[in-house]
Amino acid sequence: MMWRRLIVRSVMLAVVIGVPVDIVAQVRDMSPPMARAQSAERRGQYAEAAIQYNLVLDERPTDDAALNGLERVLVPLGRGAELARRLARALDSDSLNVGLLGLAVRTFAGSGQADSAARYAERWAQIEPGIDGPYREWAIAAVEGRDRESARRALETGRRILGRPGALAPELAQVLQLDGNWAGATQEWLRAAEAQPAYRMSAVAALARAPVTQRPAIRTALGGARSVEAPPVRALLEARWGDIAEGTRIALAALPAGADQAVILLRAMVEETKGHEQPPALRARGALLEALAAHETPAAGLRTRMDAARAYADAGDEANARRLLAVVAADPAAPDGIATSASATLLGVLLAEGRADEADRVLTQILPSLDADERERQSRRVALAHARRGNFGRADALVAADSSVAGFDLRGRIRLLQGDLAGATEFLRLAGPYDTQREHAVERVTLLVLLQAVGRDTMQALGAAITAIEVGDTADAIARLGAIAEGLEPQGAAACRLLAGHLAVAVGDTAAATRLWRSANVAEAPASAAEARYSLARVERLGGRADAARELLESLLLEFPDSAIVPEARRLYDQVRGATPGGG
Amino acid sequence: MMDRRDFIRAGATAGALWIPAPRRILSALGRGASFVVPMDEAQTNHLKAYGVAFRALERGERGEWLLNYRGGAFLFPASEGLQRDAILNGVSIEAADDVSAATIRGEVQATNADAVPLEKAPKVAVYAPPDAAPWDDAVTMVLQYAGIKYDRVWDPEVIGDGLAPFDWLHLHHEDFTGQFSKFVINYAGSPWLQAMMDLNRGTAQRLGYPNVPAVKHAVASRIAAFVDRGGFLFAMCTATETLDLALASEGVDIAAAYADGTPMNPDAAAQLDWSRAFAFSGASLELSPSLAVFSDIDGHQVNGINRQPLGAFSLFNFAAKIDPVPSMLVQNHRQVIPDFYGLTTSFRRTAIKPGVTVLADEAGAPWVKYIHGDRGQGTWTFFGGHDPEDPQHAIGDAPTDLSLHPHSPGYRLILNNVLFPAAKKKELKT
Repeated sequence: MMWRRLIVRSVMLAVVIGVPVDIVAQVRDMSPPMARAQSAERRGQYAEAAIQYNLVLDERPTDDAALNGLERVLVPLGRGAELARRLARALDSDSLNVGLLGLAVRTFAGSGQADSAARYAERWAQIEPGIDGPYREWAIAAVEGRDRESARRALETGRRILGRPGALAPELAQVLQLDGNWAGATQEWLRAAEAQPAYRMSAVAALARAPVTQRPAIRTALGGARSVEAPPVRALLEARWGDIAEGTRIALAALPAGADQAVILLRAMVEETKGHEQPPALRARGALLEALAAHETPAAGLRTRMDAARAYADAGDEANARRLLAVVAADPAAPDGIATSASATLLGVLLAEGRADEADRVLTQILPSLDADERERQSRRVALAHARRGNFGRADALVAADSSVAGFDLRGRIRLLQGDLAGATEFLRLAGPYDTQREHAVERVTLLVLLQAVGRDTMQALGAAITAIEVGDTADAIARLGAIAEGLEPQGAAACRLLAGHLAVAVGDTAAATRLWRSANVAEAPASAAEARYSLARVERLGGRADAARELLESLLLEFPDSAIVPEARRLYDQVRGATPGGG
Repeated sequence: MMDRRDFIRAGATAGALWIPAPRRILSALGRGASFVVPMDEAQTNHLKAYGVAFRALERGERGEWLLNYRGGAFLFPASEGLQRDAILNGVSIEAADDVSAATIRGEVQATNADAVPLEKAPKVAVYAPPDAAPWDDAVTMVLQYAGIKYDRVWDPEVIGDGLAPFDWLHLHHEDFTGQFSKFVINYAGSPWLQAMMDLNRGTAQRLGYPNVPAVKHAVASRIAAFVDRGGFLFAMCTATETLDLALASEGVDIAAAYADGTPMNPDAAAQLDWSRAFAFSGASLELSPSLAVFSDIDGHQVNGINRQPLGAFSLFNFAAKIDPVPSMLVQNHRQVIPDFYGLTTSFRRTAIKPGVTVLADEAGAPWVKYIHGDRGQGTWTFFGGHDPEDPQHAIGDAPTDLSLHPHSPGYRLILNNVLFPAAKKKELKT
């Protein structure tokens, strides 16, 4: 209580007579000066802290903690010179104290007293010969004091005294960069990386920040350097500057002989390709991964090759993707999963290119490594590709023994593409109405309905029209189906027009679809007519003509109550009547 | 292959023909032929079957409701119109010649079944705000799905005696205590709540009432008068409970301050006059303005601290020849139906007045689900819960698509009520 009254009185008195409160606070604080100094420093009261640190140093001139504290508070106050006096006194007492010498180097360099800084640095170096600390401290302090000339002098002095060409190279490189001497900085970074490979990525990070106008100077410096670090640094720099392909070319051309170093460079390069999705970058990524795979263990190499193949495939480089996938697929050491994945990917690449023969050869190579189901699945893919190209003999041979649902389905389609409608019907019926994927089953039933409606045993023209659908030439398919319809009985004609209408609407030609469906809506072809009305009703509803849609659906439901389309039609009917949400 | 049940059914309906190609039926039948609309498992769309029957009555055709016969089947004279309607809506109908029809009538006569004449399509009114979508309310949703016409009425029409032309009135989740379903505190700031409050307050002001509770009390009295004069009332969800609370609280402030500017009378429960109510008596009021609970009438208390889990409720069996009205209301192809929540889900047995007919309850539970009674010259039916096919219904849920539930037994109960006023009144013995 007594202390509180005293403090209150002191503050009141201070306010009355205008004495700074800080000083009053001193009066009441009876703790040791060091504690008071640190407390004031924490509060940001640097002037008060300086007073207290000086009180400590009055008693103990070489007290490291007090001198360092004084440095911290005097520099922000712009009173660095005061520290120099304290340091001189301290060093008079203990001239071999390395901590004091380091502080002296920083202090004198930072205050522009280069000669004093040099003197203390040399003394420090004499005490601890062979270390670069004195010169680094000197240089850093000089840079902080914006005295780059002194910094360079410090580093050059150090290198000369230390007698190592690469000594202090990272520091010198940074000083040269600050000077705008990017060629010089490049040279120094190469020295640094040669001495310590870990500096390579620091060099790349620092040089990558060079202005675009300075890049030629850097390239020239790298090109003229004899350093083994020049190609990797150049490769990484080009990649960092956005030219992944050029960086990759340089890296691959100058891969270090040692596997470890090569892997380090390749991994670094792969990292540089991340985020670049353009084909050249993806292709470069593929090449880097492929090179990397060669230096890895067999198991890791397989996975990396798969990654490389995917990168090639993403780049549109089917040839390289194919080549690598074949290697992976044929590797007897490849785990089952990877081999299967590789072969599937490879086949996909080949089939996407339309290279049925090549796919067939790959298939032949990898067949022994596939299980029975996968063998049949891949064979069907290749067979379909052959059939699309008109090579029906080979297509048939590939699936001749396939008695699965998908096998019968494909055999039926192969017959259909040939115009053998009777054979197609037979196999499609054998495949049955079920499938693992509903859309396959629906598609198959649709084909059967078409074949039944056409009612012929053979028809080359229909085979050609279906082939056009298979190869994605929708316009050609629509034209062919229209032409076929002209020569068929009403049921077959309606079925062809119905299918052509679906193709037309799929490519956005609603007008053509409407015209085709209307012509399929004939009394003589009830199955097609029901579906045609449903399809027309959907178009009317999408066009906002609910009454027209309703009329079509009512006629459908009343006239074709047994049609397979009735459940769909009734649902649409509810919607256009507003009987269920989402309708109207 | 015909199983035993099909065989028995085929024997029971000897002479009835399935209709694979309906266009041919009429020509195959002679004069006096009938259509049976089965309502048992043979029906392909139970809900739309009610619409087919309703529209037949609208066209002036007369039929019969065969209570306790094949799930509550309908029998109509064969007509092109009914046949067309059934085909369009996917409703199963069976053709019956004179012999078959006679066989059916014999079976009805010999068993706990009855044939109730259906004479005219009732005029249906639904009490709902003018901006409500059909999908907000289970009844309008099923009327829309079945294709049964209805008119919408709201406070101005009810106050202006606009109920007179209607036979049947439906109420759903309206809060007749005028407290905005007691959502005001918990949903403060929600746009839908604000819109609901603005609409109700504006309506009350235009009609000359000082606040929403006042106009809702007046509406409740008009509805009671509608039933007294011979109207049919069907209420669901919270409309059941709050209608009775509004009627019983004439002159007593049971509304929270946010509804009428004054807090609820703390002694309100003791001052309620239950003789004015339809179904309930002796209930305790929920005093908290922030709990979306009105009283202890509801057994499930979905928003209360004593919320009860859902079970299943069972429909009672009634003697069709003695109690045709309750029989009509419980016609179904299922006897046990999964329960579903509403702001009012069920009715505590102890809160139900003597004389009220329980149509469905949960065995062993202290609550019932579905009740019916007479009032004056009219009748009323209360059905707890919000949406029979959305048991956990919450604000903002997607609307139920009834095309996915064409056999919903819960929705059938609603449609029984819609068709019930079509039955010839002299046949009603309850």
